[in-house]
Order: sequence, then structure tokens, then C-alpha cells
Amino acid sequence: MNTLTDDSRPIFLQIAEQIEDDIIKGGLPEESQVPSTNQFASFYQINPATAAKGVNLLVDQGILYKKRGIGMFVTKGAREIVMKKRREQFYEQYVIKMKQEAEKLGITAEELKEMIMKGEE
Amino acid sequence: MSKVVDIHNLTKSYGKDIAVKDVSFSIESNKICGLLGRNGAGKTTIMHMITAQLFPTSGDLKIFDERPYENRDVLNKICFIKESQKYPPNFCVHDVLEVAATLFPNWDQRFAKRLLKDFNLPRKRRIKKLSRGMLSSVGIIIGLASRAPLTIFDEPYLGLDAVARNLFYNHLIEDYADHPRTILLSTHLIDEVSKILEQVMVIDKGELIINEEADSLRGSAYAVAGLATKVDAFIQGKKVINKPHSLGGFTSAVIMDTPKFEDRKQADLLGLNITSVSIQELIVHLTGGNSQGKAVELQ
Amino acid sequence: MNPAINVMKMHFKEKWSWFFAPWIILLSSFLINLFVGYLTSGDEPIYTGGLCSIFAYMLVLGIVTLTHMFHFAIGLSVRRNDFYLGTSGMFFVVSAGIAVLLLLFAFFETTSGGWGVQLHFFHLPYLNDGSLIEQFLLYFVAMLNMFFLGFMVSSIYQRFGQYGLFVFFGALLVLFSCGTFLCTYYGWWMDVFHWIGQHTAFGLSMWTLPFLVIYIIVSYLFIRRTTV
Repeated sequence: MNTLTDDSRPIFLQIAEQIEDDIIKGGLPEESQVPSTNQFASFYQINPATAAKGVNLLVDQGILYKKRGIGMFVTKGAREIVMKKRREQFYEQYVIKMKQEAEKLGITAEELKEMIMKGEE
Repeated sequence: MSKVVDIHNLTKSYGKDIAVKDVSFSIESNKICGLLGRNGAGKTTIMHMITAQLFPTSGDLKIFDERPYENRDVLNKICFIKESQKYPPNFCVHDVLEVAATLFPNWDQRFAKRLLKDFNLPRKRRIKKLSRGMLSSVGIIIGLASRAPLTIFDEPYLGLDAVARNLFYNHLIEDYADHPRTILLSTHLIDEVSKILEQVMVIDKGELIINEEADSLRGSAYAVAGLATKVDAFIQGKKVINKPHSLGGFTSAVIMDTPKFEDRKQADLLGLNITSVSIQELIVHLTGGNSQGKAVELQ
Repeated sequence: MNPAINVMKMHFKEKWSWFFAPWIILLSSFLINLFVGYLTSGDEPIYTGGLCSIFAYMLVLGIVTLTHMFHFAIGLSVRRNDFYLGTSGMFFVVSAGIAVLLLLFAFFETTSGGWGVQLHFFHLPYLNDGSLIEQFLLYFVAMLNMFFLGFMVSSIYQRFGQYGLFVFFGALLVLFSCGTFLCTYYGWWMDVFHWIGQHTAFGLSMWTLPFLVIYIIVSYLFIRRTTV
């Protein structure tokens, strides 16, 4: 059994993110078949309808597509779409926040850059 | 989608005691719903009325578009498993399942056998010799194997350990996926089941205070904590549902809203901490002692 | 399958209460009497009321079966109507079966000269005076009376709780007291005994039919409104 840890956010979003993560990491290559909603449901112990909602969210965004009678597949170019989306989120969720916190602490942009470089060493 | 359960202004009173007060809700077909709330809130009473085992004092109640009382067509489609279910004490487990097999039209004998094995139930053991947990397992097996279009579980797992409960959730989800049906589940182990539920109804002191899609309840409230004066300033004009803790100059408050960017910014400025609230916590806050839950109207 | 038949099948599973226990009680009473018969080497005819035990047992079963089975059946989505029909059907079938068995035993008793020791356990004077059909109906009706009386008492309890039973038995007591008082006051006792003496056992059993009908109707009405 696998659990989704976060009970404070809608589960269908978490399911969509899980699939996106797998696409980025290469666990789900383009044109490969995605587990069925029922498989997701029993794997994460969630309601199949909720799993379906998460999958459909990705269908709407062109990341997954449906082959009638067979199942869901990863779209060609899906990884690109996901990466772009995640990069935007990264900027909003981490960079802007970081800059705010830095301002509060009186860290200049220069110093911030230095810190990031240091983190890479 | 058609409505499997449709309840309007349902009230049940015993003399002056009002057990269920003016409750209205409906459940669409093939959904898994949770009827949650504290012990004695009126959940079991509502379920008994849905299955015509109790009679409402007033209000209207339709199950599969018909009144359930002495209605064979409707009752045939319902399987109600409750904590207090009585079994003939001299029956063995096998007898009980055989009777259930004759009473529920969709009964799956192979599934029942598999469950019997998974739950480690001795077929030949008499009911009166079963432990509390085994008795709960009997109910769970009936509830699952009956595949009734409306299956109701009322605190089905008294005396069952976490492993057995997990077994129940797994079988429930898997079998539901293959054979969709309407399931109404009442429990106080909200954290365990909240992920399975599609719709959540919360009963408090006989009244329905929440009827929401489960996923939209997640993240629908947050807690803020810090200096009491700052917290008081922050919650001005916000929907506060509970102020559970107060310690010295510090306090916390639970707010019914999704924290917006400005909220986080304001909290930051005031030096307050914002934390998320799970469904279980939310319900505890709404139905807890010093709650002002009833004042909250959910859209 | 008809749901009422399913309810009957459900009762059939309770083999111990319906089929084994009553006969064990009756036959052990019989064996003790038979033993006494052998001790006295059959010199004196023995008359015994041991037969009553099976009737008393069925009264109790009528009470117990409702408490044990009603909640179970209703809990498994059985209609009250179907439960009532199935249970009543069970009463009729079992009553008929017992009546036949008792007649068989009575037959053996008479042909074996009271089991060789002049024991009159199953075949009693007065009670078994009538024709075979009359004897059968006598047992059958008496048995049904027991079942449905128990059923009614239990349904009063299920419907109205202890308080209901209290009122019921209180009312019964008052009624009985008034009856005996009136009989004594107006000196009707002789007439009453005379009336009873005039009738055969079979005739008397037919006079219980109105009561049986009352039990049947009352228990039905209460079960229709009984909640869990």
C-alpha cells in the first residue's frame, strides 16, 4: 500500500502531480500506457472517481490522451509540457518566496546569487 | 445521475429529545459517501431510517425513488451493516453467510469465500463464540459480498486491528472499482477513510453541518497561531470556526477558507504561523466542544 | 425464491431449538417414566402429564424466536411482512409435524400395551378420545396456540418494551380477577364446569380458535410497527 501524505490538498491534484513526476523522471515515457484509474485507486487507497479526476486533469492539459477501449497514454511531447508548467510553478512557489524572505533578512540579490552558487558546490 | 438516497427535512424525536433535526441531503448513485460526526450525533438513527428499521417523526425520505418501509423492491437493494447487528447466537459463521446469500440478489459466493479466508474467519465457529473483531468481520463480509446497490456500513470495524481494517479498505476499493455501487460509510476513523470518500456529510447534534465533496474540503480551512493580540487582529472579518488552544499570550484559530496569497503575507507580517488542516481536524474543530461550527455556512 | 420461504429456511437452520431440544426434553421425560414403569414391573397403569413439556417448550420458543431472529432478519433487509409470514409458516409446519409424531407415538403406545408396562404417556384418556383427524387437529391447534401466544407476548415486548409487557399482564390479571369474581358472585362456577364437561377435548380445542386468531392478528399488527 502506498499513501499520499498530504491531507490538506485535494487528492486529485496530488494524483496528477504524481503522474507528472513520473513523466519527468522517465518512469512514464512518452507513448507509454498509464495505469488505469482503478489501479491508481487501489494503489493509493483512494476513491476511483477521485483518481479519474486527477487523470482527466492531465488529459485536459494535453499531457495524457485516451485510446478508446485500451486506456490512457502519455502524449508525445508531454514531458516538455510538464517541464514548462513545473518551471513556472518553481518560479512562483520558490523563487518569489525566496526573494521575499531575502528582502526581509536584508539579503541583496548579489548575495543571493552567491549563496546559490555555493549550494551547487 | 439518479439519486439513490433523497432526504428532505428528516426529523426523529423521542419525546423531548431530538435525535435528528431537519436533515436534508441526497446521494447520487455509485458514490462512496461518509456520514461523519461524533458518537451520538444521530448518524446511526439516520441510517436506521434510511433502511426503514426506524420510523421518522417527520420529513420525507426516498430510497431509489420510493419509500423504503415494507417495500421489498427497495429493501432488496439495501445492505445495512451496523455495529449492533444481532446474529442468532447458535448459528455458525457459515449459516449466517448462507442466509445472507439467499437474501441478497447480487450475492457473490466466491467473493464471500475469499473474504472468509482473508479475514481468517473459522467457518464452523458459532456466533456466540466469536470475538468482537470476528463479529465485525462477519458484517464486513456480508456487506461486501452482498454487492447491494446501496451498501451502508455503520462503524463496521469495532475490534478490528489496523491490518484487518486495511484489508477492508482494499477490498472495498477494488470491488467497488469492478462493481460500482452506492456506499454510505459511517466511522470516527476519519483520517483512515477520508481518501476513499467522494462526498462527506457531517452530523453534529442531530443537524447536518457539512455536505461537501471530499476533495473540496481538503484545504478548505487553515489554522493560524501566534501571539494572541496578533491572532485577534488577523482573524478580523474572517470566518473563524474554532479557537482551540490558548496558552499564556499565545493562541490559535481555525479559519474556514483557503489561505490566499494576501492572507499568507498578512500572517507573515504579524509573525503568525499558518498550517493546513486535514479533514479529520476540520471536523473535530467543527463538532468540538467550543466550536461555533453551526455559524458556518458552506457554499 | 419467495422471501417468506427464505425466512422459513433461516428458521430451519436453527435445528437445535426447533427440532432437537423439544424432543430431547419430551423423550427424557418419557424415558424416566418408562424406567419407573419397569421398576413397578407394570402392575399399575401410569398416567403422566409429561406430554405438557413439549407444549410449554414451544410457548418459550415462540417468545425466543422473535427476539433472536427478528433483529437478524430485519438487519438483513427482510420485510416485516415476510418475516411474519415465514415465521408463521414455520409455526404451522412444525405444529403439524409434531402433531403427526405425537400420534405415531400414541399409536405405538396403544399397540405395545403401554410399552409393555401400562405407561400412558402419549395416549391419554379424554385427550385421545376422538377420531384420528380430531386428535391431529387437537394437537395442531394446541401447538399453534402455544407458538402464537409466545409470539404475541414477545411482539408486545419488542414493540413497547418492558412497560408494554407490564401493562399487558396487568390487564390480563385484572380481567381474570374480574372473571373469577363474577363467577363466584353469581355462582356460575357449576355452569362453567358443566359446560366444560359437556365438551370433548377436541371440542374444547376448537373453542380456543378465536383466541388463536387474536394472537395471530395482534402479533402481526405489532410486528408491522416494531423498530430495531
